[in-house]
Amino acid sequence: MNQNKPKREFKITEKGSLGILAYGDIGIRAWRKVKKELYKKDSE
Amino acid sequence: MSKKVLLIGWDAADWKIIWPLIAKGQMPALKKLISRGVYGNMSTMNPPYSPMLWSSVATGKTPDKHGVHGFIEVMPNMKGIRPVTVNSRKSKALWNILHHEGYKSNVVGWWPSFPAEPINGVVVSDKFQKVKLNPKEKSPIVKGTIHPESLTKDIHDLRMFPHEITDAHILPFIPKASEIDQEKDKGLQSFAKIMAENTSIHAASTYVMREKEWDFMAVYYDLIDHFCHAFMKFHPPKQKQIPQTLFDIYKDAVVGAYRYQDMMLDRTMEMVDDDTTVIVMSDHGFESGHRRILKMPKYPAAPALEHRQFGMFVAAGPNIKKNEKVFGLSLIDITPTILNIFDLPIGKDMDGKPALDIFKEIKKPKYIDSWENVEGDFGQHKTTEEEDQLSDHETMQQLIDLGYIDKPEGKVENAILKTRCDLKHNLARVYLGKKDYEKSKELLFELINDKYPVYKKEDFKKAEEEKPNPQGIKVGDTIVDVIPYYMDLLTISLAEKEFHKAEIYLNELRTRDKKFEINTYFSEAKILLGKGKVKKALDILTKAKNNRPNSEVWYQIGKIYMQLNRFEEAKNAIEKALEFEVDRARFHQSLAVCLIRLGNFEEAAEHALTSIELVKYFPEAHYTLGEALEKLGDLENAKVAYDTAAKLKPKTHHRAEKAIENVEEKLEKRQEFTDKNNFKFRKNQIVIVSGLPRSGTSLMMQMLNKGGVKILTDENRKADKANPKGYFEYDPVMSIHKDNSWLDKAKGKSVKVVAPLLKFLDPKYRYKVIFMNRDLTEVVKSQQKMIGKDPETLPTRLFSAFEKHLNQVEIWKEKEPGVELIYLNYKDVLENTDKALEKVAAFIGISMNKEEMAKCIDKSLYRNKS
Repeated sequence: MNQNKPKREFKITEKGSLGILAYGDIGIRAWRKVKKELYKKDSE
Repeated sequence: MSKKVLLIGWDAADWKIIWPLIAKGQMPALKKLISRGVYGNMSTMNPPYSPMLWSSVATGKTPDKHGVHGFIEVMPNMKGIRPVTVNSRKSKALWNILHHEGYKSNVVGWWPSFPAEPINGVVVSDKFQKVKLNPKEKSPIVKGTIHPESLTKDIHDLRMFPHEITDAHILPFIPKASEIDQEKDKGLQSFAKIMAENTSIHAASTYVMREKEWDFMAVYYDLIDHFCHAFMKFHPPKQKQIPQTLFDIYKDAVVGAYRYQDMMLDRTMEMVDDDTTVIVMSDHGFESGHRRILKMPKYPAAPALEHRQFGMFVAAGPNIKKNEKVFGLSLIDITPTILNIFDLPIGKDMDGKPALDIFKEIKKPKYIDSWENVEGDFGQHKTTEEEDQLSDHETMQQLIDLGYIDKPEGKVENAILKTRCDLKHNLARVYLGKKDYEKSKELLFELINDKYPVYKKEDFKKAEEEKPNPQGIKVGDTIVDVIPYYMDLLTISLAEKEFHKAEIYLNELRTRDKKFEINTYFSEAKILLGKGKVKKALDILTKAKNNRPNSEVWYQIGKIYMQLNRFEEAKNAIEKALEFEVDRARFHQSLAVCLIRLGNFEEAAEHALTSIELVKYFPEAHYTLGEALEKLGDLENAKVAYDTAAKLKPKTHHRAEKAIENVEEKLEKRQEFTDKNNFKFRKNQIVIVSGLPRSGTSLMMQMLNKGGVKILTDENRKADKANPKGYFEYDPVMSIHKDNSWLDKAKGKSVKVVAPLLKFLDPKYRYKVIFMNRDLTEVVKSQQKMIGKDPETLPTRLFSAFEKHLNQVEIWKEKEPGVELIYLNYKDVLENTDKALEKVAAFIGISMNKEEMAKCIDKSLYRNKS
């Protein structure tokens, strides 16, 4: 992996974004985590 | 140096959409890749069906060898049909070879790759991303989807489901999505499915790239292809048949797909070392201009008609040239090229060649007879999987939705029969594409001669219950439609110039297709042309052009004018064709030929070069470039162009060989030549005596005979009052337009061929043509007398016809490198005999008995002076 490239930062919302999907496995997992947490909060 | 290679497949990606987006800064990742690498067109193959094409990419072979012949296959247990699987592939893929050589490969989403092969590395097969549309239905990852199976637990959550798509994903593509009536318009449903599937592939790909070691990684996305099939009709410019409301809703969808694909590329590029060679390529392009199809014809795989001949190719890496355009790439070149990067031998049975032009430092390719004969572990399946779960409803449904396959017949045996016919037909089309007409015809004859069952009342009733019959099929129709087979037979008979057969097939098509919806004016025009009915052919095409002008019809009109040697009109027509389609190699090559004949050599060379830029493996374009450069006096480069033409032609390119000899001779002598004739004796040369009838050709034959040149004659035509010393003719000459195989007998001899028949001489021989000239009035008078008409009444029509023939001889001489020609005036032969004989002997290049030759002159026979 190219270590020199800067890490990107995303603000992940419940609806997600194309950017987060394009980020691949890490993106989709992070988005689902956010959704899950928000769902958990809502149901509390 | 690192040997890591990343191959990214973007189905249907097309430069026509990409370049404007790059210009607007909307595909930055691809732009970056191009700036540090090479780019070019990627030629597709016939038929342009993706599973066949991507299997050619992976094997370096055409489908007749690799065995993937379509979108579906018959299950080995004969219980039904299913989406094509890796079991159809009979050749080793690149990753099988790499496995054998100890390299690790990751393969994600390749079409077809299910069931996943047990290679050294990871295979996430093309079944991974296919999930049920209904969120309430379970979508288990079936056995064979992922190799190693143990990886399933790590990546099963990386599948995205269509129901997860939110407005944040939709609105960048379809800002007016809220205006869609989702009851009637299923556009959003298609959108969600395509997006979810490609996101799943991308997620699996990024995971294995990060987590698993690899030397070779291949990932395939169908995002662009599927978006194009669904939404290209709405892409700007708006077509008048498209309602404004729908245009406003979907007009940005295709561009959105390209931009999303670029975003995924950007992420992928973050994960590779700078010393990894990256290739991004597509298997074909997609029509985005006036050739877009709004109403799809009703036959299987018709949507592939929207596929354009050229896809795209970009490569960047440590040994790849920078910011250069590369030419002439074909899908089958990818595997040989990657094998070359890995320093592994290329199978001689592979159809492709390594694209050495892309490399800074060229490694000499190594070769092996065939990887298929190498024993050992190649990470392939040991047995053919026969599990029922291989039949995949979701995938089948998607192929049906895309229009690639018909909805399977209710009866399994009918579905199997249709599938078998489709696969056999596709194979016939592969052979047709390879110009192996015999093999293609063999399959097509089998297909038209088979007895097929017909639809019965009950079949029809059952189909209607499910869905109204969209194909217009009725009781009594055969289950298999043979019309496409006849269309291919028609194409072959035209290619083989068998116009009588072509006419039979055309009539058969008209009989079978009562409404005659098939567009056959090209075929009809070609048949008429073949039969010499040029005007009628031109009329048909002109009518078609006036009815609906397009590039092809203009091009065909241009070709007819070329045959008629009307080059100015041909040029105008081909230029019109180019206005419609600027990137057709054939158009540029033909235009270059016209320009040469019109004396505009510089512009001709430019068009020949453009043609080569578009398709490198185009011998005629190289040959035409050679002609233009030779005329411009650039002999060195002309020779290079002729050499390339000669090398590329699968059969011997006789004209190129002769042209090379000519240029080499010119280069040796390095002097000005105004004509090709340099009076050199050539082994096996054929001396042709030609001219208009009654211009002294028999006299010249007689003189050559006396002078020591052997004559090819059958003496069937006896001497008479008009020619008391004989005609020296050879009967087969009269039918040279049908059969010129007898020319072999003429080697080292002389034969008489009248002017209009010269164009039928086989370019594989060297000819010395002595063309007899005589005052046209004398010629016509002499002919009138010979046929018993008044020699003082001279028909003007004959004059213009003869002038035309003489003009054509001049054009023919100029374009045939194997022809050297001198004009000899009949009157000079009679009155300045010694000088004329000197010229003849010098031209033929042998010593001749001029004394005996001179004795042939009988001035009393010079009777019809003007």
